[in-house]
Amino acid sequence: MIRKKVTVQNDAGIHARPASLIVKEATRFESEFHVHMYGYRINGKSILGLLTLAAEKGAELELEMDGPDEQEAMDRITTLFKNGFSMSEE
Amino acid sequence: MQKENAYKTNIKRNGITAVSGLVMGVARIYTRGNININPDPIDEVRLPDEKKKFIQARKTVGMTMERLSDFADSRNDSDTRDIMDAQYEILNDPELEAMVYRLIDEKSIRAEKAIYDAFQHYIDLIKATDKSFLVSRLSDLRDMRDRLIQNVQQLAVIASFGKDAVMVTDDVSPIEVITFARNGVKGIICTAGGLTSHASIIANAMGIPMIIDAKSVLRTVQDGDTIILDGYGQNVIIRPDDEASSSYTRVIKRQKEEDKFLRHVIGKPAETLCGTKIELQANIDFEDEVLNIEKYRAEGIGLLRTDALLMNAGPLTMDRSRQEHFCQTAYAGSGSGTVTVRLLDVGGDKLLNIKSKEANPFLGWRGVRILLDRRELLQSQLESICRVAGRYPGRTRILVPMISSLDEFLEVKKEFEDLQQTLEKRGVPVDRNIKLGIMVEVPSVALQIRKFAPYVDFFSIGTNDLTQYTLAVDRGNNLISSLYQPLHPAVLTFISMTIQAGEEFHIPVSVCGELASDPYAALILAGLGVRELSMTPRLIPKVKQAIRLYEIEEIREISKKVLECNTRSEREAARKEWRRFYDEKLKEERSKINAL
Repeated sequence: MIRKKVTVQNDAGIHARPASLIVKEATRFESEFHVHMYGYRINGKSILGLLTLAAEKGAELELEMDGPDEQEAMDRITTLFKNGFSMSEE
Repeated sequence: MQKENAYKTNIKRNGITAVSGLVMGVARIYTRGNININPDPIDEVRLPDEKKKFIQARKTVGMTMERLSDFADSRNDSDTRDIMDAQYEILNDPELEAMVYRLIDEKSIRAEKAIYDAFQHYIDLIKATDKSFLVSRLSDLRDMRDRLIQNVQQLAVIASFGKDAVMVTDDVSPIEVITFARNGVKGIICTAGGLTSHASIIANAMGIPMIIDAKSVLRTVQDGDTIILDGYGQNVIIRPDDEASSSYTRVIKRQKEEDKFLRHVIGKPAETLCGTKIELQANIDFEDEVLNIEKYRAEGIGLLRTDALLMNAGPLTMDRSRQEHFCQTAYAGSGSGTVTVRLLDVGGDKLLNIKSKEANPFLGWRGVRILLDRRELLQSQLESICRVAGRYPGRTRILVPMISSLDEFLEVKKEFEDLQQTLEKRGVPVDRNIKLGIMVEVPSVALQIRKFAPYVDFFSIGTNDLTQYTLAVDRGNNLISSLYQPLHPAVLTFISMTIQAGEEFHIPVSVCGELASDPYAALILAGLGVRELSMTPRLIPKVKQAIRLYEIEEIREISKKVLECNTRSEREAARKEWRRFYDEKLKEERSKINAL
């Protein structure tokens, strides 16, 4: 199991589209994926869970990945945060 | 509504056949009711069924999330695009599913109540965040909830109609056709015309006869009436009298007998008496059809249409995970057969709203022309296909539609090769044997087919478009429908040229248009040298039966004869003559089977 802290960088925060990008990416991997914020722990493969976090720009989240492909999965998800969920696929 | 002729019998009403066939059944008037949720607990033994209802509703809603017309409306609307992207994830949210299950189990409630409560849980949480960027989107969540509930309730209503139901309704959506099909509905009659072609494509794939544009039927028919849907005669008979009933019953009985004989050929090889093999492949539009590949023993998929995915995903974007899922299902369901994935072929008749913007949609922005203008769409499609192909090496063919010049193909090929390299670098398993081919449907391509041969791996002839472009006949225009002649010598000459080039350059040639599923036309194509025919799977046995009754030399004679026909009446006479001989052959064959 690995953990990593990330910050929401895009202006709009985690609304429907960024959340769906996260889920799309995460469901491609076998690893279990959870997101921690303000003491909540939600399933990162659940878009509704992600939305209820209501994470705005600047919010700090901790990602938790657990499974055989956890490193690659973590890299892909953190890249999404780093790029501010830019529209491109990569 | 005041019913006319309430007690008259044998009332005939005209319509337009969307899916051919003949059925007699009980008319069921289908209307869409308001949502009405029953919160009362139910018996425990029914709980597993409630879960199944939820899963089925979710699948149905997911398959047809958005209709095509919506897609064109919102092409440039980024808000809509955001939410449509998220819809699929919401629908398939694992926590939502878990909560629905839990609610059903713990509270012993119906699926619709559990769905309502589970959504409400999330709606309340999101409301409590008080963040406008989320709260403004709640209507989308409610919309999704209502669609699921509606579907669950429709399931209950439709299931109560029984097996003899012939649906009579004003209009029908793709979702509803799927729901009808799963509940064994016999036929569909709509008063609306000009349906999005998708509803009828689904009805056709599911083998449900369908008549549209039957304008006055709803004013005449009463729920529970006996009704005949005659797709051959393009009409509906309401409350048939004894004479009509018995004559239709005879025809239906004969049909059933024919079907029985067809079952004998399902497991047999598709070859002529002298052993020439004709590969019969499947045209597949959507997931539910994949089961038919095995059922009718199609030899792989000759045409996997990806157009419905675009419809579901919304404005000119395609969801890569859904594409991969669809391809995966297709590979898994087709044994070790070839899978021919056609890149997006929308435009023309498939996008009604664009039609109004383009003066000549069939000569306009469609197929590869759209893909080359929207590279991200092309790249995302290619990536989905290549990723799945890597898991099933040696089985993939990619088909590029609406090619009218070599440049277009070379550009797609370049994108494909670049992408394969990128994937390889990233460590994704790739298939180095993917074949890249073109649709032959534009006369300029057929005329210069040898110029394409050095670059392409296979040709696939789309007879519908090739016919309309060659003869300058819009196939959707009723005023000139008699001019639409796929067996016109000019069309057959183009097909023949393609086959010759294929033989010369050792490139496989297949035909994937509707034409291939007509036994007479299939024989003609085989006579010209086509060795791969692709069609709706349920039509395969009929074609196979025809092929198995001839020597290849006889088949060549049939082709030769039709090529010599200069006029339509000559062609019609040739077909009639063939039919007479063919019926004789069938009779002999059947008496042989009966003697066994």
